[in-house]
Amino acid sequence: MPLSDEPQPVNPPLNPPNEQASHRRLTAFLAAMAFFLSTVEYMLPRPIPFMRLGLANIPILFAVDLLPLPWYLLLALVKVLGMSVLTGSLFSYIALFSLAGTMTSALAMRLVRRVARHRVSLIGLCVAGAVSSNLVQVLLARLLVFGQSARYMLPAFLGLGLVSGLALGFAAQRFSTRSAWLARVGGQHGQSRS
Amino acid sequence: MIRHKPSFTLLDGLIILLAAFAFGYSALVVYGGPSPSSVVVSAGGKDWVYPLSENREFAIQGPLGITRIRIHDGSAYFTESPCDNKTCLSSAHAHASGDWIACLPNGVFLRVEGDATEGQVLDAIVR
Repeated sequence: MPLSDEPQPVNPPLNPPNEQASHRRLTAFLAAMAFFLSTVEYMLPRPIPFMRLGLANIPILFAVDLLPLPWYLLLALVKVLGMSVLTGSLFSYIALFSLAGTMTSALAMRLVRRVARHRVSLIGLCVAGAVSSNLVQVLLARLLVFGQSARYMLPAFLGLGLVSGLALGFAAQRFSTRSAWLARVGGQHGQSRS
Repeated sequence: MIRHKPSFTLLDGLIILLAAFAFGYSALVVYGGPSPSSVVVSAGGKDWVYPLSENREFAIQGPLGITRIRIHDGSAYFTESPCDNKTCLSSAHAHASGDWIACLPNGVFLRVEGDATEGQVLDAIVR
C-alpha cells in the first residue's frame, strides 16, 4: 500500500497505514505485554535472590526487528517505568539499576543486530542483552554502592545472564518461527530496521 | 507469509562462548582463592574483617538503618535488615571462599575470603 507524507484524509475509507500511528500502536501493545510479563515474573518464586528470568524483556527482543530506534527506546523506557511501579521501587535508586540494565540490554541487542544483521538469531541477541545488562548492573553496584567488593558478584551475574538469556532466547526464537501474529506484524513493520 | 528467519547460527555460538568464557574466568578468579578464613563486610566505603571461625553477632550501620549479621559455625548470614525486599535475609549462608550476600538498599556487602589475615588473632580489622 502506498505511503505518503501528505496528511491522510479524515476517516479514510480503508485506513491506509499511517506509519507513525502504527508504530505508536505497536509500542503501546508491546509495553502492555511487558507490564503483563513483569507481573508474571513478580509472582514467580525466586530460587536464588537476585535471580530474575527477565520475562519482560521478550517484547523488547521482538521490537529489535519491528520498531524504529526512537520508538524502540521509548518501549524500553516505558518497560522500566512499569516495572518500577509494579515493584514499588520507582523513587528509589534501585530504579536506576533497572533503568541502566534495561537500556544497556536494549542498546546491546540493537547494536548486535545492526552489526551482524541476520547472521545472528534471537538466541544470540537475547544472550548479548542479558549478559550486558547484568554486567552494567554489577558495574553500577561497584561505582555507587559496594565498591571493590562488587567484583564478587560477577560470576553469579554473568552465569545467570547466560542461563536466562539462553532460556528466553530459545523460547523467543521458537515463538517467532511459529507465531502468525508476529509474522503479520513483522510484515507490516519490516524485518530488519536499524 | 513465509519469511526467512535465522535459526541457531555460528555467531550465536560465538556470543554464547564469549559469555561462557567471561563467566568461567570470573568464577575462577573469585572462587579459586585459598580456603575460607575471614568474613569481609563492606558498607559506606569501609571494610570490616572478621575471622570466620569465631561465632559472633554484630551490627552495621547503612543509609536505611542497622543490618545485623551473625557468624555461626563457619558460616555468615544476615539476621536483620531495614530494607523492604529482605533479599539479603533469604540469601544462602556464606561459608566458602567467594560466597557473598548483598543488601543493595542498605548498601551492605558481605563476602567470605581466604586471605593473609588467616591465623591472626584479632577481633576485627577495619580496612
